[in-house]
Amino acid sequence: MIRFVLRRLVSAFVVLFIVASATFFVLNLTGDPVTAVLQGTGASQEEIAALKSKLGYDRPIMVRYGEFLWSVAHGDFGVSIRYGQPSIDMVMERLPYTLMLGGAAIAIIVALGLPLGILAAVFKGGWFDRFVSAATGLAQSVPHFVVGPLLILFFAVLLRWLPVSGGATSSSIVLPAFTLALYPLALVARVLRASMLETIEQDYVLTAQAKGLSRPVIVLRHMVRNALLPVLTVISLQIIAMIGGTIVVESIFGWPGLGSFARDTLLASDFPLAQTIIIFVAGAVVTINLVTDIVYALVDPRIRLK
Amino acid sequence: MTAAAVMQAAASGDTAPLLSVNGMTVEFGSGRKTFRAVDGVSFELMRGETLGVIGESGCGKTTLGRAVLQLLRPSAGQVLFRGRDLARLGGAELRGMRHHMQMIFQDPRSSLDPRWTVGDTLREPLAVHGIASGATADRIVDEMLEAVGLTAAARKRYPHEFSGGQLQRVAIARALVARPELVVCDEPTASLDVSVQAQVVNLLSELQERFGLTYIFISHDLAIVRHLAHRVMVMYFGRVAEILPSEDLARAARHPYTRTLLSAVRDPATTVKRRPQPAEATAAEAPQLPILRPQGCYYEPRCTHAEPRCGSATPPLETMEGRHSVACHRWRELAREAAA
Repeated sequence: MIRFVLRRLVSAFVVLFIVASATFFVLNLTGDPVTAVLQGTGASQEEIAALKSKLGYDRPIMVRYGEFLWSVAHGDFGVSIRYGQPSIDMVMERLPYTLMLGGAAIAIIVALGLPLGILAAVFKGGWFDRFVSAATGLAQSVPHFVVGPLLILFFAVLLRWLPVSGGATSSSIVLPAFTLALYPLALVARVLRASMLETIEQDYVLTAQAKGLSRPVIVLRHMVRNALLPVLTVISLQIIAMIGGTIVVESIFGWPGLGSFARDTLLASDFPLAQTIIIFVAGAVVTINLVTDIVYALVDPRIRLK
Repeated sequence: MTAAAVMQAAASGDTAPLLSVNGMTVEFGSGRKTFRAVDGVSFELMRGETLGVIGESGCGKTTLGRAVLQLLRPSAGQVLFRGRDLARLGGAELRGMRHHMQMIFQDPRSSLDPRWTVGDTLREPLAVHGIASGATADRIVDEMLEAVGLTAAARKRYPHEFSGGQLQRVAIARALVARPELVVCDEPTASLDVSVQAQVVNLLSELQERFGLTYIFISHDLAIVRHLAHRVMVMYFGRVAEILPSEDLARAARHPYTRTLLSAVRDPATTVKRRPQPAEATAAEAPQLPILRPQGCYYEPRCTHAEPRCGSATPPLETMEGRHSVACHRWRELAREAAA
């Protein structure tokens, strides 16, 4: 187990190195950031050239690449061109908001998705099952940019229960978290329902019945535990997909996290900041995958980590 | 317990059967698509006796076993066990009876929960029925594992860490740990290598002796059934064709279907004396499952002894002598032919 984690950490660094390099080249080959940022602001050619030289963008790309790797390896992610502040500080300032939003969304997914899936399978074919299947189908077919404004309109504008946008109050998180959670929640409910229906066919469910267990005990102790594995895969993939979702959702709700910030940064060609954000996202994906594998092994004794 | 001992027990006054099934019917589906998997089956089982149930795939053997234990609820009929009609019991009352009756399934790989250690699986029935917990439960589990030929070390392992034969021993220990009286064995050797089958069969007879178990042993392997069972019940399309003591199989089997099965076995002790005659051979391939009830004997389309009445009237299960019953219109004539 420890050897597995160590090996995965090594490969995580390889992945991050490749991501950092690719990001660096893709961004830098599209042109230089100083021109992109200052163009149209009334700055003269001389001023642009001076800033380029000051920030080192007049040097050959390979020299800058070497310097970039060296400083990133030492925890220095460079200074934002637009804001003139260390980009790592700017990311760290916004990261907690995105983590909070993601955490709230995962909590909603688990708290609603699992019971819906379990109950739909237990009452297969009944009105509850049909309701879940219709509701999840609807939830899966409406994109964030429709759900978000609809929720704002209903809960913030009409009912005035929750704030329209921003991150000022603790209730601000409810609408964006729910918007982000809606699709994965529906998917989790559906996958769990299907997976539960598969375990119902298994002989060990009959064994459990023969043991004299009551129905709820059989469902929880024997069926759900076995049905959960595919759901873990789905949740893990959906958390990764949610990183992309935060860009849209945070923009809609004015949530002061990394997602909306990433959008502004990329549009503004602020290279050092963009590189930092991308490396952080890649790090998050690698971490989520590692955690998923470890959770698999904890949940299913048949999986041995090697 | 030998057949003689069972007879003796029956003769010595302990005449109340442990299990008495009367006209049990199990139907699947509804309306015109109703399929009757078990059709009015009746039999009695004495304490310590083994009833072998044989028949081809789809004849309702497994359904019969599950319906006796109420894992499937019969649509009609009685299942009297320990003085109660199981078919009438519901929910909690039925669950309270469950540790008296258990099942060993065909494939232990699917009948044991893959996420549970053997110890947890075996402890669960003890906890549910309030039989034992803690150290006492561990001791009972260890004893049961040793009784089926495993070591106590098996307790901490998961099902995927065992071979097929070992795992079936675990499944047997699982079934017996709460000390049931009645055990339905549903083809417990069918998923095992031939080399391991004999070990498991011998283990089952050993355990029967040791714990005084009563078995319903379901199989399509006549050689194994004959070895283990005191009586054999032959099923055909959900109905009982014949029930007879297993030592009488070769000599006294009367139903043409039973004789066909016997002629297919290569065990010298079981095979009928002469070579299979055309009369014993099957007249036709197995017909489609009779979803719409045809009149008459289900075996009639395949039977080489069939007469017109066989196709129009259902033969009742008639008792020939003592513990031998047969459902064939022509059993008397066939008996005379055999004697001649």
